Amino acid sequence: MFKQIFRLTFVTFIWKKYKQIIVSTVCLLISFWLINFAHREYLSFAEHQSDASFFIKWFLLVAVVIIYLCYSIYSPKNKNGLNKNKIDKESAEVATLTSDDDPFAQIRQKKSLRSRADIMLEKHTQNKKIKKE
Amino acid sequence: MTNLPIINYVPNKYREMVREKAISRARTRIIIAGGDPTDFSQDDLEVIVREEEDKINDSIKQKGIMAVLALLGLNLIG
Repeated sequence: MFKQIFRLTFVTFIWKKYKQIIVSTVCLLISFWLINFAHREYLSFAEHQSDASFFIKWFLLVAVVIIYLCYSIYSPKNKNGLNKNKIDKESAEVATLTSDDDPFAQIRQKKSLRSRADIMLEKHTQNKKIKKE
Repeated sequence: MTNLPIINYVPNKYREMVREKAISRARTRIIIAGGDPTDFSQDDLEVIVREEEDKINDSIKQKGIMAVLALLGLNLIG
């Protein structure tokens, strides 16, 4: 248990301290790979220039990326959708809470509730005040 | 400082959650006893909800202690 906590703390510490370096290194490696990939693609394209499969492949890749972006942006589970649903739920809850039919509506508004003893003492002090008057 | 809504957000949310749970338990308790919450006075309802709230808080505290003991590797059973 402690080993895992220590490991997690260590990883968090490293991530927080070297976040910028880690991210920039990963970006650099990805860009190396992308440049090499593009160069390889270009070389094989130059070899088989008359071949239409390259165009089909790139067309399909772009189409898949567009579908992915559309799905992630317009998905019903995205942030705006969630917020809207949450707001709707909350307003519905508030509407039910403030209705006159709910006997617990006043209790919901109170910051702290009284116990039986508190109520008894309150009544006792009130009675005392009335008697003094 | 303590009146800032950002700082009080979590305690308020926690209190609301406990209150809602206590109200639903109180409602169930009243229904099981064959009553109707609308027949009770506000003071009586308050007392019942307060009782349920205390029970919930106690159970949360107990679970918290058990979690700390588990984290430390202490077992009460064996």
